[in-house]
Amino acid sequence: MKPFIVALTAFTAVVAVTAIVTSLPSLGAGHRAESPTREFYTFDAAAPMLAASDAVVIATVTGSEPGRSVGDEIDPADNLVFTQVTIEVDQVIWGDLKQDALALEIDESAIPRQDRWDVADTTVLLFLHEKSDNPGIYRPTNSQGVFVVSGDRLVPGVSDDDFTESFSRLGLDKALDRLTEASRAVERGEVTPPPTILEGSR
Amino acid sequence: MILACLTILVVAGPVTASNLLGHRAGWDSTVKVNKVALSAQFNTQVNNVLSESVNPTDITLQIAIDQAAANWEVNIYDANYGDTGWAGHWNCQVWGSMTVCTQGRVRLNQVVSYTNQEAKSLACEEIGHSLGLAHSNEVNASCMSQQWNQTKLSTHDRNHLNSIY
Repeated sequence: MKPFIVALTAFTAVVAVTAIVTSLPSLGAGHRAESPTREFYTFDAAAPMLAASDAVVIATVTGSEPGRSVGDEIDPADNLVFTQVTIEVDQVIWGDLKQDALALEIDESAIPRQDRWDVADTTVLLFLHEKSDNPGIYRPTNSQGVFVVSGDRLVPGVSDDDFTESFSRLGLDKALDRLTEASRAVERGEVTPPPTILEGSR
Repeated sequence: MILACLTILVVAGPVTASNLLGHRAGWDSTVKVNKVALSAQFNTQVNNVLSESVNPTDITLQIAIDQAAANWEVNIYDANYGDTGWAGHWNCQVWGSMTVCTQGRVRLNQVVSYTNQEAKSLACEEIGHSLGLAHSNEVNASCMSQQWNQTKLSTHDRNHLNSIY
């Protein structure tokens, strides 16, 4: 009888823990909540995202530090603080970059809650936009445009929506093939930058 | 006893649903909202969203103007944040244990001009995030769908909020 009670108790404990874990809000280890941001671009394929980007690169992060702040809040500490990220470009997939070292300016919308990608020595695949208000400085085209590279593996760096998940599943080699095809399609004029979501609604 | 606990857990079922982010603003059903130096347009549209979409829920609003952020659960700012790629954004300082957000920030980016409908839609979505809602696919019913012509939380959204407040 005693072994039965012990087994029943153990089984019940396992079931109870499982029930508790699955009933919690989806913030378990390794899970990123969706980016709670209304962005001007949202993509469902690589080609339009490439077309909307000034450059697509594989690069290595060389540094990350707090940058300028913007806003006129009551307490300056409440202003939006950018993060200045530097990268060394390993491979240019799209775009006409003149230099190997690039400076990025990102904000909290481009930083996931965990597993930050802007850590020195991290290899990343980035879709980049040159900032119109800060020429020569880049940012990810949107939250879907950051992937961490690990061997042939791609992991979405910020947004884990359906598109970034499916693109990641290609692996690096097939993703590069996909991007090469996309760049040719853009050069042929077959794919053009889509309107931003605001332009598209007007 | 064990079976009773198990029964309660199973009957309670998952708390999360399709468009809950996994947090709430503050510890109880009174949510403290601080509007900081808002432009006239966003001030009006934020007020409209709070009265039309949040007041009909179980949430009780406590609203202040131009206070320091530390004591407020939802702080709403607008400014020209520049070419960031986003129109609106919400984040919370308590990233590590996000089930209760005690100092969240809604930022409305004036990098472009918005119609009043667009400003209301944007404010609605970001306030929805701050209260605990994720994006939704209710394109004809909810501002959480990111459609610029949707300016209110849906019944589905409000039911979600009532389930966590």
